[in-house]
Amino acid sequence: MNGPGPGHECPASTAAALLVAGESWTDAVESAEQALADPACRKTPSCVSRALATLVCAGELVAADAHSLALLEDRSDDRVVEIALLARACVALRTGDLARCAALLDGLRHDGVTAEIRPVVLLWTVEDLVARGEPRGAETVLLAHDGDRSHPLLLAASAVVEMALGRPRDALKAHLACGRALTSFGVLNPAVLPWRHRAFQAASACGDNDDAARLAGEEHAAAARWGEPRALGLSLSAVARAGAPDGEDLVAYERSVRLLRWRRPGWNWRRSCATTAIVSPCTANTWQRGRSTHGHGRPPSTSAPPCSCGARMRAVPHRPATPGPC
Amino acid sequence: MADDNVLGDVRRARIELIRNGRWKEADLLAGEAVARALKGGGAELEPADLAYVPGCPETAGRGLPDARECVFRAVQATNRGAGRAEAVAAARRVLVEKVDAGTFWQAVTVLVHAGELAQAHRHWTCSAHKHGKDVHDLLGGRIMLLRGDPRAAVRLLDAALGRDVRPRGVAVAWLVLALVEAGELVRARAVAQAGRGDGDRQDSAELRFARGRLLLAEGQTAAALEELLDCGRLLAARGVVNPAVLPWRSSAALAAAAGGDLVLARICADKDLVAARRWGAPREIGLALHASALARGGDDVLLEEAVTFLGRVSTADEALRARHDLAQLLLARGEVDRARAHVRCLREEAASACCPQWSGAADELTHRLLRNDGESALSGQQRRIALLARAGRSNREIAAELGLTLRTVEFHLTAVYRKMGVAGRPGLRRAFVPTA
Repeated sequence: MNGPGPGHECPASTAAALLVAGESWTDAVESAEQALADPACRKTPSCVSRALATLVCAGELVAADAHSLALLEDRSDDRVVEIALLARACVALRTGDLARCAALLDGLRHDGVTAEIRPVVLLWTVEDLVARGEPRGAETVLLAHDGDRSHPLLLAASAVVEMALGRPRDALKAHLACGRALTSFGVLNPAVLPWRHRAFQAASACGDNDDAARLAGEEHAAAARWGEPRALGLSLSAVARAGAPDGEDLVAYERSVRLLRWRRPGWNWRRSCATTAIVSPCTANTWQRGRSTHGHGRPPSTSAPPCSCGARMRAVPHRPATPGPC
Repeated sequence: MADDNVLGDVRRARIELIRNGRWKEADLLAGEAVARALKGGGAELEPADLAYVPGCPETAGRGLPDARECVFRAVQATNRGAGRAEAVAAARRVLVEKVDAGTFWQAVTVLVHAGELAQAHRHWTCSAHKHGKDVHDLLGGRIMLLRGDPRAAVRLLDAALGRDVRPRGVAVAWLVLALVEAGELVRARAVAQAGRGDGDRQDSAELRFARGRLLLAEGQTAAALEELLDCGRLLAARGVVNPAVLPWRSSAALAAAAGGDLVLARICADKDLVAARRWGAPREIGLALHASALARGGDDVLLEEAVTFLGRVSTADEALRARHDLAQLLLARGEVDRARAHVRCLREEAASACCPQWSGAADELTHRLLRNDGESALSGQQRRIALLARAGRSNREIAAELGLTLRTVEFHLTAVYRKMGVAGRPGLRRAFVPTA
């Protein structure tokens, strides 16, 4: 394979590291596009996964659509095809085309599908069934899955089912466990999985208003740092519900609706709240590997191990968090 | 009748694909439909039915199908904001041929959106008169505006509207933009109001953008933001992503930043910056950098970069506004020498572009520099108070919000006016206050 030289930085790894950290939206998107234009990264499933996940979670759906279709046309590698189909399912989910999303996921629910993809397919299938008003069907699918129950995506799927079946206390517990697992992997970005937003909903349903307000505030701070309209719109809707002591904050609601309408003109934004963003496990693993090599809490340095495309992972620009003004 | 049904089906299918996030498939569908139609196997399609080409006159007959198909693909690339070099090459190839008015319009528009204004101008000068006065004046107005000559643009667009040009909405929108650039806000307002009923289909996005820019120039930032976001929604529904077609996000970012919503401003600016770099046209990169600098509370490095990009190609107003904001930012930071240099450039450039509003702004900055006592950097508390006062809060409201006494607020505001060299609240409203 004509991989890049040893000094080459892998743009897909850079994109994924920025995505999970929830910082530098423009750098993340540009790195992802750079990776998908790089022949070595395009042939490497983990790079394709990181780059497409970054584009989808950054809300760059037009680019994700174009790149995933081009990868499907290439048909170079079965795993790359699976990842491209998964990305297309996510674009369909985010644009509200639930039927197409379900059809694409059906094609990925077979025994031969890669192990890393299975939890993602499961979570989206569960969410899709819940969104269609079939929580019992979602529960059946979840129980039939034989994966590791402590996987953050399985915890998220379980929480979605619990909430849909009217058990908010159990849902809250599962969401918080999911959040702890994601945080331990270094995944701080709500555009990857808005677990705090969902935990807020569960906490509100339980009457735990203080916890709900705290979760809404934390989610909003992280969403503002990343700056993706959908994640920010969702977080603002929670802030609006939790924020005002004498009722709901209409100004925050207005800003939330504006952001969610912008993402999807004409789409029923309330329904879109039921869907989620997700990052492929490759992304989290990359980050975890970087952390374990270079010490907890520090970004990977340029001496990180080579990425599977043959390139090196680039150091994440370390910059102080700059919370937004709202 | 059958052809109408086919056209309707293709149009609906394309819009549905865009709605469902299948932009690439929408492009393929439209491209195939146009190719089929041009080879005589389907309905006669106008490019405006299946892509965003505001103001495009109807294509005549079925001549030169290869050129028409080629330019349609270039228009699609322009709408999507990817493949600039190929789109420019296609437009150049087409313009060598003897083409109809619609094809000529599309090819020149692709060059305009790609920032190839010298070439667009040359083709317009050589050939536009062959396609009738309306094409000549409308296209010329657009080119002149982007070449930094708003007065010439006003003359051409006035002439077109005087003949009752079609499509009227586009002519109105572009005239409003040219008048805003020329500093004739009262007339721009009158033209915009008179043209309220003129928008249809594609024109409505152009009209909303023009109204948004006008409101922004008038200082009505909330209303401007609404118009610009509506413009964005209309363009998104038609599958237009490229800021070179209409840089609505950068303008919305300026409106949001002026209204104090820095998060929304940053989102708009960042999205435009990524899209502009993907497309690669300097004007849109400069506009996005300018918006990005303000959305970050005032970043002089980004603003310097924006001024450089906009100096290469932009409207006069865009370049002067960026220069003005940079001078204001430096003044607010107490970097008086650098501020003075930029004010000098602003005055010279405003005079050369015949933009009296920016000459006036340069004068005002000069007065502030003269009154400046050399210690103009605001403290954190003064900056917070200045921002609240600038947003229209009363002294009492500021005191309540920051937990201060009324007397403390008055004391700080007096220091703010002195340091910034402005005369009270009206001066403060026109001045830039960095948030960081």
